[in-house]
Amino acid sequence: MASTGTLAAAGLLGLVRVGRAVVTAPDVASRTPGCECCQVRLDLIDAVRNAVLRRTPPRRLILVVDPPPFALLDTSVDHDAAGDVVTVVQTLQAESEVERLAHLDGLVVEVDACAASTRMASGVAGWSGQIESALAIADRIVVTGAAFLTQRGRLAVVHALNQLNRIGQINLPGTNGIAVFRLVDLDAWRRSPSLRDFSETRIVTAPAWPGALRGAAESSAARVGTIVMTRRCVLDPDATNAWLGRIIADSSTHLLRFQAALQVSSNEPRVCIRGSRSTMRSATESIPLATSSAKEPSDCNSIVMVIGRDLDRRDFIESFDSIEVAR
Amino acid sequence: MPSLNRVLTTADVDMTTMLPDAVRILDWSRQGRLLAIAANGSALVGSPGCLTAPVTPDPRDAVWLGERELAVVDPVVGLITAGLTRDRPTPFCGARRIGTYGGQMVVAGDGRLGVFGCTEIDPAPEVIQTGVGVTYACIHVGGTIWAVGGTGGLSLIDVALGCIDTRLEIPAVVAIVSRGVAGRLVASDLSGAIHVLELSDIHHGTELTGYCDPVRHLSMAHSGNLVVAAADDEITRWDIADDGLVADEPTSVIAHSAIITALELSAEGFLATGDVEGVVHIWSPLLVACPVATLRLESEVTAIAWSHDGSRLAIGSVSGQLVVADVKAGELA
Repeated sequence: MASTGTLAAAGLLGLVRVGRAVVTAPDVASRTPGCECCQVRLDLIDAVRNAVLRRTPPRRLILVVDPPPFALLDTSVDHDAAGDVVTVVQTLQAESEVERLAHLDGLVVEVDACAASTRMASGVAGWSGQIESALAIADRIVVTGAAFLTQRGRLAVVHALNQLNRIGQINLPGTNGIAVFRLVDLDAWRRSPSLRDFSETRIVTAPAWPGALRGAAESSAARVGTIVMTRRCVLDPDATNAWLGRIIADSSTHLLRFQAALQVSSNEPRVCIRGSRSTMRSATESIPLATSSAKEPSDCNSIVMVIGRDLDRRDFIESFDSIEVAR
Repeated sequence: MPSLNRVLTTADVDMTTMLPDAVRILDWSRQGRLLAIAANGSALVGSPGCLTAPVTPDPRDAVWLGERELAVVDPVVGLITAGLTRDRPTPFCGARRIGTYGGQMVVAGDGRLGVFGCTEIDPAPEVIQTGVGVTYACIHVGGTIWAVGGTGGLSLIDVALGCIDTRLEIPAVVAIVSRGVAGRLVASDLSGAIHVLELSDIHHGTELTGYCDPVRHLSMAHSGNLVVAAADDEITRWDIADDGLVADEPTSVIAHSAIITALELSAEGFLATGDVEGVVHIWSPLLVACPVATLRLESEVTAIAWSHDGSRLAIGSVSGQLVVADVKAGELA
């Protein structure tokens, strides 16, 4: 059976029901008792299975995740996994039964421009921890209602989102909405990352997100970081595997999204790795899955992208640079 | 113990038909009537000529209540019965599993167990709190005790007393099999472990590990002395002694060239397994290294059910194909 594309979306995109729709109550369990980074949504496993195992399976599944309400002053990580987009992402990748039936195509997050701008103008905290995490790993951010803002307000919102998200595209739909091809068939989670994905030129110059009322030394955007690392060599497979194991062991709680294309053999394609929290899946790089890297100038053999919360950037870079080269 | 002539086995296709959607549930009545329910809710009752309109939008489990009555559960709609006096669904939130024993019908829903009669549906049944959250497995284990597994663990419920008998903290139970005759219960959890529990000493079970993913396909021999689990393309068989002692190592065999999606042991000890490519193998209890018969469906196998006497095998696929085969033990050459 062909794999069914899956699109996780935080917030409501004004979707008109097409075909079947299922509403499930979040049912969260941990594969390791008490381990927060091993949490999965059991209801989604059930729902995906029942939706895809049909005579005419849907070409796409759209998972709409209702985020928790705004945490007005506390932007620390929420521990309620019920509305957590990262838990949904983890479920779609960690569960072999789900992975067999569907693949995560892209993550779309909707932001209400008026609400965001009002909160910025009044200086209250940006988003709750879970929404912040979702925004950081989103492949598309749809800013609705941007037409109601002034130019300065729009730029401020876009700037704040660009500070948080270094990989996706920010879309400000006009009165005609947004073209569907901008939101689906992204294949963003299975392809290998490319240096082109991390262009700094998209960041709009505008006032930073105010964090004064929280009294924090850094803005909320600064606590979620994106690290991109490259190596121009063939890495030792065992050392690379051990390095990946250490990442899961040491940083899984903070790991929101991990994607890599690693050259561990001089005569075989790179290995693409993707995951979040305690889950990592690997596959051999192929042209259909990695069109961007196939066209990319050979500026690196291996590339790793890590998005996480409170990551130690220097530690990550040093440990990656210390992976032995294949003999 | 089966005789040696069961090594040579034939599986002759007796009936093939198409349901309107993927076959989701199969069940045989005591007298050999087949119930097949498609993912769209259509039910084939007895023969291909008796296919109903959808009875419920999202059927999850179904049972025969006798030879002419049956019940289906749906998490949203609740309990739907056919052949009884009640012609309307009985609401029961989150109903995912249903079973019958001793003239009682038990429906497991979100943190609750409903106890109904088999001949008359009480719209306000006795409801017992299970304490396991969303229910993914429910089975009769003996006497008045039912085992319910879900997000919050495993509970043994005494339906006569209307209360929890025992509760075990197992991380998210995904499947349960039980044989009351052996006083044994086997449950698999989200972490990939299989727990073998003796009802006489439920708190001191044996944990079988080594599985990367949750084991969703489990079956137990009617004697209770063999548990078969499928993980990926591999079958593992665990022998259990009468005193509950589990073998140190299982017998493993790469059973299919694709992921196994269904598995069921018959009363005679034959094992049927199906995979994502539609291949169904039948394995003799005396020959574990290779299948004794093979059938091929046109798409992924979604359900397998042996008749009570073990002579007929029903197989359903994701395309809606339903195959019934007569399985006969052959003669030694």
